Amino acid sequence: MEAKNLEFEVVIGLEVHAQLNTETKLFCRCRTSFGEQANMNVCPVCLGYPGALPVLNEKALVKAALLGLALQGKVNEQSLFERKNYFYPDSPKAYQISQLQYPIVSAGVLPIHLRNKNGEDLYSKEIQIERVQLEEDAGKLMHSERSEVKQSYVDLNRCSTPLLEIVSKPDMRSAAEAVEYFKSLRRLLIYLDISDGNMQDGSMRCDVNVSLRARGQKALGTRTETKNMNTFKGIEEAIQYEIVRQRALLLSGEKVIQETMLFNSNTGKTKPMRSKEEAQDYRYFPDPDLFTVFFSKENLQSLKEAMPELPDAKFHRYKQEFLLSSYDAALMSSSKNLAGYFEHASAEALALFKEAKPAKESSAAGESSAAGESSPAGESSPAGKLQGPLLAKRVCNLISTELLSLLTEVRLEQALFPVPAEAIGSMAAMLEQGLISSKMAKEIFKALSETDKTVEEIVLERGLKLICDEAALEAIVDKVLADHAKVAADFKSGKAKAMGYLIGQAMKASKGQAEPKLLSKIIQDKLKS
Amino acid sequence: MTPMTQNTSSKAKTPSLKMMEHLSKLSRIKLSDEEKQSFLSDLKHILVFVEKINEVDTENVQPLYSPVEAFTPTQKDVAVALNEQSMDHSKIAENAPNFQLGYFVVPRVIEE
Ligand SMILES: [Zn+2]
Repeated sequence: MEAKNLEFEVVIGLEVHAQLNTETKLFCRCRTSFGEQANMNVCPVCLGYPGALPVLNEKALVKAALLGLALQGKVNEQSLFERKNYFYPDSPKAYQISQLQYPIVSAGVLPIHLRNKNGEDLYSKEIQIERVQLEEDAGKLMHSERSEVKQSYVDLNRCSTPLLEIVSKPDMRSAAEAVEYFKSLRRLLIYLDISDGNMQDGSMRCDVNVSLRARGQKALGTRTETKNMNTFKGIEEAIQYEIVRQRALLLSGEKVIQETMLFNSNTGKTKPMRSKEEAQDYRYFPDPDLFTVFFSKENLQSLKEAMPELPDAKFHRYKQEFLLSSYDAALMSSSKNLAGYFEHASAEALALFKEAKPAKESSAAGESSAAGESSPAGESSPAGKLQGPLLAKRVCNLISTELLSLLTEVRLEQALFPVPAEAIGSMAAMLEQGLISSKMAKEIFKALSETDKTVEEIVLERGLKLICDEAALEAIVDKVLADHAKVAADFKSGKAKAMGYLIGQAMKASKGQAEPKLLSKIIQDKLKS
Repeated sequence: MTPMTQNTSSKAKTPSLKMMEHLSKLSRIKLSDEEKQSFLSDLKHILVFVEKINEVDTENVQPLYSPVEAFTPTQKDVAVALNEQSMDHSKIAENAPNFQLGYFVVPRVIEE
């Protein structure tokens, strides 16, 4: 539920932290892997021993630049690492190496598309990115559940693993926009293999800045910053709570205090962080252990040339090239692996369809296309242009109704598809040619996912083929009309409903294998004659 | 390079006792009242000395972040084998005030 805010405008900005999926840490060659025994991936550099010197991870720099390009941002040839000084047991150096004055990326933009629950387009907008900076993560603290234990335990495996901090401008105006922005950014990071985007492990988390201002007012209101959110639901609820809380304060004439909050997902409320009450003073200064970072224009150019098609570009192309709805286009482009699968299956479907066409043109199932086109034709004819979209739509339907329910997010990430893309393509082509019904497709799909057989083998084995032979169907229809002479007479005397019954009976007589369009055409012709 | 954030005040604040307390807190160094007074007087002298630098006109001079004219080197993203790092836990324990069962042990801290 969006809170009603007639008198106030909500202003939201996000600072997203994404862990890079590099093999080693940002400034030493310790592994970044998780789930290992505590303090195993550590060395003098990340333990902050005196005299140990940091050396920048080349891959981390490249990934940061890649994100900058994808955000259409300004990737700086020169950037600088600075020290952010603070004392806390998660940081053995007593400073974090981060970027302040000269980040690797300054300025950028991320388009977001808002949809309603039914997947229909509401609106799109562009969120401006202020900066993207490289920095190192801190270690992990563990506390006993029992408060009488007066000790905490520190694991520095995560210490100095590379992070990207992506700071948006305060461009979002609702919790829904903030969540959509976070999702889009996550999708982009996964697409580009920059981060695994795993939220449970904390690979992606964000700080949410929320403020309210009177409608029409230019100046920003006082904001609060809610730290360390790592679920979509949490982000949404924390923002909603802050809106309600700040609105109540402002309406009663009180002031919002600029403070750092923590969100409690059990109560659904935010509350100020006690430890951050003392005003922060990080005393940034350039890290003397590291010189200016250089990322050449040539490197940037070759990155640009190797840039894969991005999710947003795919989304628009699927709408244009395949005439998919926004909902379908968003779904098919939602993951790199799924998009690849969809495109592969669609191409296969079109190739098979074209191959089969010459024999098919004479067949009676010519009018099976979903859009009601009179006859599918090659690309040269105007109607042929629609063939790609019709097949793609069938592939998309098979994926969304059959495949996705069998696919967990983890399996999708690893591209472990239960059915090969070629098989989906082949089924889409057969559906479009009117060779099988969607009910048969369901059965074929199930058999495919349970056995190693091919579509052709399953079709042959189970006799899953529609009867398109006109003479054979006529024989069936003749028998049905004879058996139900009274119903046929009813139809002739004006009872239109009787037609449905007769088609049903004929379909039953064919054991569900009659090509439906041809069957109903034959019945109609016979009844009208 | 153009900085994204500007250093707003180049003019240093006059050191005060309150500033000494803030600095003592930030650097986790406990100072007695006498020490605060003595460091305050030192700090004032140091700042007068440093102020000299502000007399130089740096209007069109790019900031220099390192006297070494080189860019920071990078390394390939390839892990060094665990044994080469040779940071076994007995060594870590030698350099930590309290290291038990593979963890650094610190006074209880919890963010809330
Ligand atoms: Zn290390």
